[in-house]
Amino acid sequence: MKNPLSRFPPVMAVFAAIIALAGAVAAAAPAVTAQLDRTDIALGDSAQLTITASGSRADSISPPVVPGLEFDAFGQSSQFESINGINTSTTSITYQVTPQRVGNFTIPALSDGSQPLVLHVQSGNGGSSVTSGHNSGAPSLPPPVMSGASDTDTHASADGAAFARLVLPKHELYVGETVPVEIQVGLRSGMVAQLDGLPTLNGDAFTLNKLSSKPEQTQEMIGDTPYTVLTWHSVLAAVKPGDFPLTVEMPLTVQIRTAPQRTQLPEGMLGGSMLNDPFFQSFFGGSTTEKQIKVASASGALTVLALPAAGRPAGFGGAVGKFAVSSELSAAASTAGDPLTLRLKITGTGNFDRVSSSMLGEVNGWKTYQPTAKFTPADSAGYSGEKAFEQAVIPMQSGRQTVPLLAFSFFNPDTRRYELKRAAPLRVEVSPASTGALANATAAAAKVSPSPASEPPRDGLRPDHIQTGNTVATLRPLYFQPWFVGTQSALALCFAGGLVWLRRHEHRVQDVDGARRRAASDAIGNDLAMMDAATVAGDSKNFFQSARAALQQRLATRWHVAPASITVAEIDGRLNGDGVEIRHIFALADKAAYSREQLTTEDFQQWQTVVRQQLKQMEEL
Amino acid sequence: MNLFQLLTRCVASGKMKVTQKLLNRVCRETSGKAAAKPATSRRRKNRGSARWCYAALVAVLALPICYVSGYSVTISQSAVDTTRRCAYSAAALFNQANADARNGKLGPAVLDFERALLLAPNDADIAANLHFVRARAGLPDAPENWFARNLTFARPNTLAWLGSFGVMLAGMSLLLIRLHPQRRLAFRSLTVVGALLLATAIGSAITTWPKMNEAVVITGETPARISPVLDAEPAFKLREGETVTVCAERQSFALVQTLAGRSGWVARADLTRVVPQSSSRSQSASRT
Repeated sequence: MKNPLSRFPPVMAVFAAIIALAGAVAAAAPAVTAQLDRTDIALGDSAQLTITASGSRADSISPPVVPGLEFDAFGQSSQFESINGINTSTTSITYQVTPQRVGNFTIPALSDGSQPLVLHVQSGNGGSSVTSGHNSGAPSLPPPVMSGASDTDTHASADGAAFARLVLPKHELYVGETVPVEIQVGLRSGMVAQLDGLPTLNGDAFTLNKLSSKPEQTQEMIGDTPYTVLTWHSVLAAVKPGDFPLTVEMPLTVQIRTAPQRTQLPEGMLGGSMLNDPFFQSFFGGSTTEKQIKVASASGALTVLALPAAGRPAGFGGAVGKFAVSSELSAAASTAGDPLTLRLKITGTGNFDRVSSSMLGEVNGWKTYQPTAKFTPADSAGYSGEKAFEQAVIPMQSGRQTVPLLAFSFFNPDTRRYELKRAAPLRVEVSPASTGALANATAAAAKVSPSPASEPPRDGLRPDHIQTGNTVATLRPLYFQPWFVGTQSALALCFAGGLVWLRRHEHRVQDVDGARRRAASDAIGNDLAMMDAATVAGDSKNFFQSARAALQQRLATRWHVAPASITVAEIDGRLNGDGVEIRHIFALADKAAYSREQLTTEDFQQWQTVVRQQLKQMEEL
Repeated sequence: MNLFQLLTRCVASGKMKVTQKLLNRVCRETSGKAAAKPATSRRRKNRGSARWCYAALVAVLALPICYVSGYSVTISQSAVDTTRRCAYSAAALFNQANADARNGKLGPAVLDFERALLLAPNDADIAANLHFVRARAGLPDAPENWFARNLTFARPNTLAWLGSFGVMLAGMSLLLIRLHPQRRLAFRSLTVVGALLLATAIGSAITTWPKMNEAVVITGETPARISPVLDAEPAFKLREGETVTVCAERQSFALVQTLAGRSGWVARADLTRVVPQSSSRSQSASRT
């Protein structure tokens, strides 16, 4: 059951809105109201939503947000009234509501007291009805796939106004390989206002040769719909290895019908298909607006392989394709010193910008000059053709001379191997010449080939690099990466630490007195430990021997003599009668060795104290 | 009770410290060479230190070599995968820049040429095409001083590794001079070589540092405003492909300085840094 309002023309709808607004104002009704011109539409049609606000609230009108519905503003009206000295103003904004899927949508109430609106969207009549108002990015409405003449899918824009196709001969390429591609863009008459540019690639791993501004034009029927198909022929080159999606995009301006939809007539009924045609409908009373869209081709995945390293010839310059070589000399007989022109022709298909040859280098019996190169394309895209290298050569010796073999290496993507093609050997009969002629001929030859070897790039840019080379994870150089700086700093600190340690070590090694003192201290420590152990064991012999040894060490260090040479006589001699306790300990040590006299614990402790005091006193001196 | 009996008793009673000292004394008395200890031990210690130094040298040299070789193997094995994710290659950037230039995208082309040049500063093709694209965009080439021009004989990462090698060489040589004074001249020469390598790396870092703050205008004409707000008055306009130095960033604006020395605030969305910041790395990687 259709809403009766849906049959009203827009003006009536606006009037109804105004009347409703007036009543609403009078009754202190909601300040913002919304009204749909119809509540049941088919997918692909659009309805009109009029939002009316009064007074200062007019500034706050904004379209509601409903998932699955798209709101496009296309009209605004304002009204001012003065009744009994009271001024009121109302503003209405009309939105075109375009559903993006089938279902029931609820447009929420825009103010307190107003009611939500419900829009019922039913499925349309398939692809035969082309409607306006969509952009190509509608997420839940997949673009139709139409059968076409090419081997690739044809993806049309959601409204069927245009389609784009990318025709590729293969889906696996090598880095540097070029393949011819066709970019086709179909335009439906009356729906596309203009082209906004040339097709562009979306894949960033490929390059496309410059496209012509005058593509081929053909007519094509897809279903019952005629399309004008623009075709660009170009060459696609792979830049880097990996798996990459590839699509082509075409910017367009399409005409969108914004008028309310007429009732769809069944096919075959009173010329239903014709009457349902948007062009026909827009012609009779419909208004259109223009919208910029981008129509994209179906996404295809391409695999780009790196050129194999195995079997790569030494002179490989990056040529990928299928080539044949031939060579010729400008004359079969000549005179020594007369310049000849050596030509090498490389024909075939592939990336001719990487086709290069150094021709002849330094050869015995020949004087050679820089070669020149010239490419003659056989097609508009430069995919196939002939590249000719010319080099001036002068035979310097008479007799039957043979020009060394000229070779050219390339990678053949069909066989997946490097190939080396050699031209047939060339022979020339050289007759002897006068001496003066040789110099003249050399000067003449220099004029023949003054240009450098390589052909100047066609677009001013040097050609792509075939070898992808090493990759790095970040563009930031190592010396700005914290881990690298940290490692180097740690390394430098280690070396500095090692250097300091070595210097200290050397210093200690060179310090003989210090070493002796340290050795004596170690020995004294051992002796004191022995004294402790002897005290525990009650061993007076070892106690006094250890005490004597400790004192000997200390005195030896002080007097710079060997510890064993410290005797009671030595002590008497050096201390002039001092050191009574020391002499006493020495004597007790001798006595304890033979008498086996046992001391009490108190005696041990007393002697221990004496020994330690003596050692301390001598250390302080 | 002699020394050995005392030692046995101490061991039995578990007095380890005393036992150790007793053992030392036994050894000293048994060998009777306590007085001659310093001369022999010095030689032994020197020999031991030298061994340690050599071992450290081998370890220090081996570690980075292992790391670099392992890193290269990893990179080469996953080159295809990483190319898609976040790996940069001078050739791929160069090719991408060529593609952008052919499609008339001069800003992205200059950006990718700048990035490629950062990875391969001695590549004549990159420099020539960057010059060509700048000329096509009506932009001047960035001035380059003698110092910077002469430090582009190798890639920055190569120079960084050379600098690292220089640190090791100089450090080890300084240590070895101490251990082998008789070969002082040879080791001093190595120290000088190491110091030169380190100086080269530091020089390269100094000349590369400005690039870390450079950005390229990737959109069409972009206004440089007098303050970082949208309605601020434009001071001048930047052209697509122009390389500027980012001096500061505030919210969605960046204070930039042109080659001519003019400064202004530009929307960050209109610029892309030559070396992506860590936060914008994923975005940049997806572009590349």
